[in-house]
Amino acid sequence: MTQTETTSPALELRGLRRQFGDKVAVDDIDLVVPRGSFFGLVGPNGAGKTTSLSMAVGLLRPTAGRAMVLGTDVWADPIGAKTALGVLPDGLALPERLTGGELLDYWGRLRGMPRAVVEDRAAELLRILELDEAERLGTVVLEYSTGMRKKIGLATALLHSPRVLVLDEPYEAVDPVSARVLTSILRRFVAAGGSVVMSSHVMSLVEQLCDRVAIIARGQVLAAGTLAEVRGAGTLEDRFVSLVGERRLEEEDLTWLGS
Amino acid sequence: MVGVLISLKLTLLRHSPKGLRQTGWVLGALLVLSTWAGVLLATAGAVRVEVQVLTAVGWGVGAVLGPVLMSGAGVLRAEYFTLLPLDRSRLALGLLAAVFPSVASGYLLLALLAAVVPAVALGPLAMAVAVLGALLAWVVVITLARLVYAALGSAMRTWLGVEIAGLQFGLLIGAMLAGWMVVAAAFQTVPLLLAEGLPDDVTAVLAVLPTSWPVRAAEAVGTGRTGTGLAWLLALVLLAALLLALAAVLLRPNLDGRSRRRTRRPLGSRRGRRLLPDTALGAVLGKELRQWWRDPWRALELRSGFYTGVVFGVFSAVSGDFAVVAPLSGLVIALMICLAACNLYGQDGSAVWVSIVNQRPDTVTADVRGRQLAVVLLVLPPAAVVSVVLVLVSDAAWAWPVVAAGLPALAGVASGIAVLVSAVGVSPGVDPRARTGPNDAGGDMGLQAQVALWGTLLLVLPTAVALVVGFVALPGWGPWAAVAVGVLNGALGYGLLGRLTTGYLATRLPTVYTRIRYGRNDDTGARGTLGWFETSSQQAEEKAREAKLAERRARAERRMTPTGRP
Ligand SMILES: Nc1ncnc2c1ncn2[C@@H]1O[C@H](COP(=O)(O)OP(=O)(O)OP(=O)(O)O)[C@@H](O)[C@H]1O
Ligand SMILES: [Mg+2]
Repeated sequence: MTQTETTSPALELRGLRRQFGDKVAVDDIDLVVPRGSFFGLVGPNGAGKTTSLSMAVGLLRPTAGRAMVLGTDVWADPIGAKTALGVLPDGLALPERLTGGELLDYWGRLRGMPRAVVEDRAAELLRILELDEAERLGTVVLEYSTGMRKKIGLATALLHSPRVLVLDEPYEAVDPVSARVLTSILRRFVAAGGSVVMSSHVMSLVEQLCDRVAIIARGQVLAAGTLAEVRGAGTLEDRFVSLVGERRLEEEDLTWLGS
Repeated sequence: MVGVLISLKLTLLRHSPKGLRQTGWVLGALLVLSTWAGVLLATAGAVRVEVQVLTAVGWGVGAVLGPVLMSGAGVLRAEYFTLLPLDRSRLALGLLAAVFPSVASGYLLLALLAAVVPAVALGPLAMAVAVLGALLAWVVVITLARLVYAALGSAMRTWLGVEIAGLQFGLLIGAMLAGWMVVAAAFQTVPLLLAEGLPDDVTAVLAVLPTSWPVRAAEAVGTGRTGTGLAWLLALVLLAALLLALAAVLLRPNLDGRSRRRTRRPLGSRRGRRLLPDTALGAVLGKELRQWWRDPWRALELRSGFYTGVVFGVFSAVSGDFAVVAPLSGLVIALMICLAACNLYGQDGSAVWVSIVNQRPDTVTADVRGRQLAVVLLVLPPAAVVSVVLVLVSDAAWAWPVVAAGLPALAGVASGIAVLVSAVGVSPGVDPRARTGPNDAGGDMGLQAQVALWGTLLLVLPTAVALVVGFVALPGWGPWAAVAVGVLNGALGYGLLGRLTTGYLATRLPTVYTRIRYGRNDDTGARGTLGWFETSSQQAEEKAREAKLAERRARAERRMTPTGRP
C-alpha cells in the first residue's frame, strides 16, 4: 500500500458543487469522513444529500470540486475508486425482471468475483435479510415491496465486501426486525475497519449509530464533526431544528382539516 | 420500434394538431365518398354486393386498427376513474358510449350505410333492413374496436395482450414497408373488380364476416326469405349484445395496477446461470436474455419485429407482382433488430447505475457486447427459421444465397447500430416501475429510428452489391460468393460499431445516467457526428417533454373553464 492509501480519509469531498440549470443543488461542500468512522448525513428534504452522495460515488458529474475515496479521485480514476466502494442509491431502478438471487449473481460476475464465492455470499445475504422466501417463489425485483427493494440494494452493496459503504437512506421502509439486522451488519462492518456514510431522516437512529455527523441544508454544510461536537448539550434533533429553522403549525392553518 | 409510430404522431401533433385533425376529416370524407362511388359504379347487382361487402370489411379493419395509431394520451383511460364512486361495469359502458359520437365513427356509419345501395332494387322493406343492419354492424365494429384497443391497454399486463399489440404494430410497420405492393396490385384490379366482382373463394370468406351480414339480411328479405333475413339481423343483435357484455367486463378499470402476478417461477431462473460464461460478458448476456424474455416492453419490441416480417411476407405474397420477394421476409425480421433494440439503455431506465458503480476495465465492453449478443441470439434463429420455411414453401432456390448472405450481414450491422443509437441517443421513458401503457418505455424516438434504419440499410450495401454482382455478372456460383461478403459485412458491423459504442461509453456512462435520471445532458464533450446525434436526440427529447407538458396544461385549463367542452 502506498502512503496515501493508508492515511487518506475514507471519503473526502472538496468544494463539491452541482447546479441544475440556475438552481444550485449542492453549494461547494467540503466534508471529510475519516477511516473507520460511521458518518451520518442529515438535512431537510431537498437539502442536497442524494445529489452530494451521487457525485461522491461517481454517478453524477460535479459542476466543480473533487471527491476522493481512500485518496483516489472518483472522477479522475473511477475504476480505482470504485473497487473499494459499496453503494446504495435512493429510488433508482434495478434490472427489474431479475430475481434477487439473479441480481446478486449478475452483480458478482460484473465484479469479477469467483462463482462459488458469489453463490455462498448471495445465499447468506438473502437468508439474513429474509429475502430467501421471495427468491424461492421466483419473485422478481419489480414485484418487491419498498422495504424489500432497500434490502436487496443493501445486499448488492455488501456483496463484494467493500471498504467504504455509501448508503442513501438505508433504513427507509425497512421493518424493525430487519432494521436490527442491518444495524448489526453495519456495526460489525465498522468494527472490522470499514467506513460507512449514510443519510437518514431518523435523528435517534443517527445518534445511536454514528460517531460523526454533518447537517446540511440548501446545499451547504451547517455543522460537521463528531456527534458530541455537533449536538452539544441537547439532542441532535434540537440542533437540527435550531440550525435549519423551525416551522410551526399556527392556529389558523389547515382549519378546514377534519371539519 | 413502437416509439417510431408514436413519435411520428407526436411530431405531427407538435407541428399542427389542428391541421392534422382537418386532414383527417377531409381524408375520411373522401373515403366515404369513394366507398359510395364504388358501390354505385359497380355494373351488376351481384358485383355491387361484393364491392359493398369488401369496402365494409375494409372499414371494419380500419376502425379496429385505427385507434392504435391515432389515439394517444388524450384517450380516456378507465384507470383515471378508479377512485370515483361509480359502478365499475356502468363506468365501462359509459366510457364505451363516449366513443360513438365522434367524427370518425360518423364516417364509419356513413360508409356502412352504403349497404342500402344494393337493397334499392329489392324494395323498401329490404332497404329498411339494410339500414337497421348497418346500424347494428356499426355498434359491433365500434365495440370491437374499443375492445381491441383495451386489449392493447392491458397489453403490458398479459401475455395475450403483448401478442395482440405486437401484431398490431407489426401490421402497421409491415404495411408501411410493403403496403404499396398491395396498393399497386389493387389499383390494377379495381376496374376489373368493379366489372366482374371478386373471385368466388374470396366472396365466400367475406360473406361470413359480420360487416357483410346487413347486406345479406336485406338480400334475403328482398327475395322473399323473410325468416332468413331476420335471422341475420338477430345474429347481429346477438353479436352486438355479446360484445357489449364483454365490454362491460373487460373495459372495467384495472384495480391492481401492476403486472399480473405470475404463478410460476420466471423462465430461465433455475438453470441458465450455469450455462453462461463466468465473466462480465456472461453477466450482461444473462441479464439481457432474461430482460428480453420477461419484460413485456421488450417482448413487445421483439414481437413487433417478428410480425413486421410476417406481414411483409403476406403482403408481398398476395400482391401477385411482388410475390417473388416473399421468401425474403426473414431478412425483414433481422433488419428490425435495429428498431427493436435502438433504446436499450432507455428501456432499463436508471438501472444503468449498476454498471457505473461496478465499473472495472472490462465493464463497458461487456455491457455493449452482451447487449448486442443477446439481441442477435434472440432474433437470428426465428429469422432463419422463417427464411428456410418460406424459401422451401415457395420453392425459390434462388433465394438461398440471398438469405445466407443477408441474415448475418443484417444481424451484425443492425445489432451494432442499435447499441450505438441506444447509447448516444438514449431516450428515457417512464421509470420501469411506473410503466403501464405500451409506449411508456421511451420518449420521442423519431430521429433515433431514422438513424438506426437508414444507418443499417446503408451499411449492408456491400452485401447487397455483392449479391447483385453475383446474380448479374458472375456464373452460377456468383451469388454464393456474396455469402462470404455478407458474413464479413456482418462481423465488421458487429465488431466496429460495438467498438465505437464502447469508445463513446468508456467515459460517458454517467452521461447516460444523467440523461435518464435528470432528463438533461450537461456533458458536451462529444464531437463530430456522434456529438451532433447526442445533442439532437436530447433536444428532441426535451422538446417532446415540453410539448407534452403544454398539452397537459392546456387540457387542464380547458377542463377548468366552464365554457370549454367537458
Ligand atoms: N433534475 C433536477 N432538476 C432540477 N433540480 C433538481 C433536479 N433533481 C434534484 N434537484 C434539486 O436538487 C436539490 C437537492 O435534491 P436532493 O435529491 O439531493 O435532496 P435530498 O437531500 O436527497 O432530499 P430528500 O431528503 O428528500 O431525499 C433539490 O432542491 C432538488 O429540487
Ligand atoms: Mg434524497
